Amino acid sequence: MANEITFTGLSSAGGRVASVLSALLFEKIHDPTDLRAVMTEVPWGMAGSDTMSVTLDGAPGAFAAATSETVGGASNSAYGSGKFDLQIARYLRKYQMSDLFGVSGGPIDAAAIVQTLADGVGITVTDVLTSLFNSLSSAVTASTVLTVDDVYSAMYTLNLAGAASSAEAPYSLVIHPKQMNDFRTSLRAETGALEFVSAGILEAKGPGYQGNWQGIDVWQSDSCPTVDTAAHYSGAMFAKDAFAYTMAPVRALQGHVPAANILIDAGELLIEADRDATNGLTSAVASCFLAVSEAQDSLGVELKSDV
Amino acid sequence: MSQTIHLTQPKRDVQTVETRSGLPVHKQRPQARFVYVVFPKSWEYHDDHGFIPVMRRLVAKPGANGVDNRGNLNRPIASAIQKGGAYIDPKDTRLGPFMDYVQYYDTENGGRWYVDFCSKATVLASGEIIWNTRESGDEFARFRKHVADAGIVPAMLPEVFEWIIIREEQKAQQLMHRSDSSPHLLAKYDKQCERIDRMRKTWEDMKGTKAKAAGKASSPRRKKADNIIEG
Repeated sequence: MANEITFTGLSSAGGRVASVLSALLFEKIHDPTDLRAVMTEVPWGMAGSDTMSVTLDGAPGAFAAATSETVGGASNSAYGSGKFDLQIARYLRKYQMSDLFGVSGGPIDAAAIVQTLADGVGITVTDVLTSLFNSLSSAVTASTVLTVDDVYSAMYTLNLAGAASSAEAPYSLVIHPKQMNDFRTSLRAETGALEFVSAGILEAKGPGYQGNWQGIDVWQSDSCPTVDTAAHYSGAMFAKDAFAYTMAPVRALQGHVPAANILIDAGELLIEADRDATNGLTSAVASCFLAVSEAQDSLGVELKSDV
Repeated sequence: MSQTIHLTQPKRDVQTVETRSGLPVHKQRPQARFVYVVFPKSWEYHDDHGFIPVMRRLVAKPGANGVDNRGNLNRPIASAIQKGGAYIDPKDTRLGPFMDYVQYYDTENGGRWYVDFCSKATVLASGEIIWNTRESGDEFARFRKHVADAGIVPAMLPEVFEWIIIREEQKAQQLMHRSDSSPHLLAKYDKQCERIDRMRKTWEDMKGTKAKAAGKASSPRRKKADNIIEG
C-alpha cells in the first residue's frame, strides 16, 4: 500500500499542525488574597498634600473623687488624642504588546491583559499590609511551628490590650499558607470543642478567607513575609481599626490623561494605553495611589513561626 | 606578512548561553529596604546567648506607615521611637562588625532584594529560593547579642524579665493541665521547667555582673505616703 493520507505525513507536507490553541483560558496559579476587608477604609481627601493625618480621639476616662467639700477642685487631665498618617504612593504595573501579538490573535488578547492588571490591585494592598506585621510592637513567637497555643497567646495579648472582638467586627488572623497548615495540624491534636468552621459553609468574605475559629476570622496569604534571616514567617492577629488604608480616586487625573487612552477607570484604578506607533507597540499601564498604616499599634500582635 | 594564529578559546555568545545571576522574582516578591527597632518588651531567651533583643523591622515600602515614594523611613522611625522603640542605625559605629546590617542581593530583573547581612540563598534550577536559615540564624543571634552588649538598645528591665517568666510559667502550667488527657506532654512540661530554671539562672548571672559593675551605688529611696489609711 502507498500514498495513505496520514497525520504524520500531512504534519510535514502541510495540512496538519502539531498543536492548536484551545479557546479555553486557564488561570495560572496565584494567591489572589485581598485583605482590604480586614482594614478600615479612610476616604481620601484631596486638600493639597500627599499625606492625610487621621486623628485618634482621646479615650474617655473615669472621674476622680473630690478630695474636699470646699477646696482643691481638680487638676487638668490630659486629653490623650493621637494621630496616624496615610501617605499615598503610586503603584503601577505595565504590559507592552506588539502589533504582531494583536493581529496574530489567540486566547490571550488585550482585554485579558487589562483584566490581569485590574486583578492585581488587591494583591498590591495585601503586600503593603503584610509588610507592616513585623513592625507591630507586640509579638508571639512560636517555639517551632504555629500551634493552637500560639494563636491563643495572641488572642490573650489582644484581650489584655483591650482590643474588642464582636460578631460584627471579629479579630482577624492573617497567616502564611505554611502557618495555616501547621495551625490545622495542631487543631487535629486538640481535644474538646474547638471547631474550625471552614469558609465553604460560611458567607464568602473574599479570596484568602479560610474560615472562622473561636470567633476569629482566619485568612491566609502568601504575601506574609519571612523575617529573622528568613527563619520565620510573619503573620498577625488584629482587631478592627488596627490598620487603615486609603486609595486616592484616579478620576482626578481626567484632565491629565486623554479620554481616548483610558482603558479602565475603576475609581481607584486607572489603566491607560500608551502607543508607540513607530515600533508597533502598545502599552497598558495600570496605576493606583494607596497608603496603608498602623492606626493603633496595641490592636495588633505579630505571630511568628518557623518556615 | 601575515602569520599563522591559533584560536583555542571561543567567546561565549550571550544570545545563546543563558547566564543566571541574582534572585529570581517571578515566584517570590523581593523584600524592600528596612531598618530595625527594638521595643522595651521585645526580648527573648536564647539557649546560647541568654536574653537578647527581638528585632522589629520597619520596611521602606512606599505608602506603608508613612513611607514616601522615595522610600524615606523618617516617619515610621519617629513613630516607633514615640512608641518607646530604640532605633538601630545601620551606620552606628558601635555596631562594629555588624555595621550596615542591611544588605542586598541583585535580582534577575535588575532590582534589589534586601536581606540581613548574614542571609545566604541557594537558587534551584526551578527558580525556587532556599534560604540557609540555620547558619545565618546563629550569626543573626550574635548580632542581637552585640546590639544589647554594646548598649545600642536599653538593657532589659527586671519587670520585663518577670513578664517573660510569668508567660513561660503559664505555658508550663497549661502543659501540666493538659497532660492529664495527653501524658506525652509531661516530657514537654519537664523541658519547659528546665528552660525556666535556665532563664532564672541567666538573669541572676546578668544581675550579678551588673551589680559588680555598679559598685556600691545606692538604690533610690521610695517616697513614703503620709497616711495611707486616712489620706
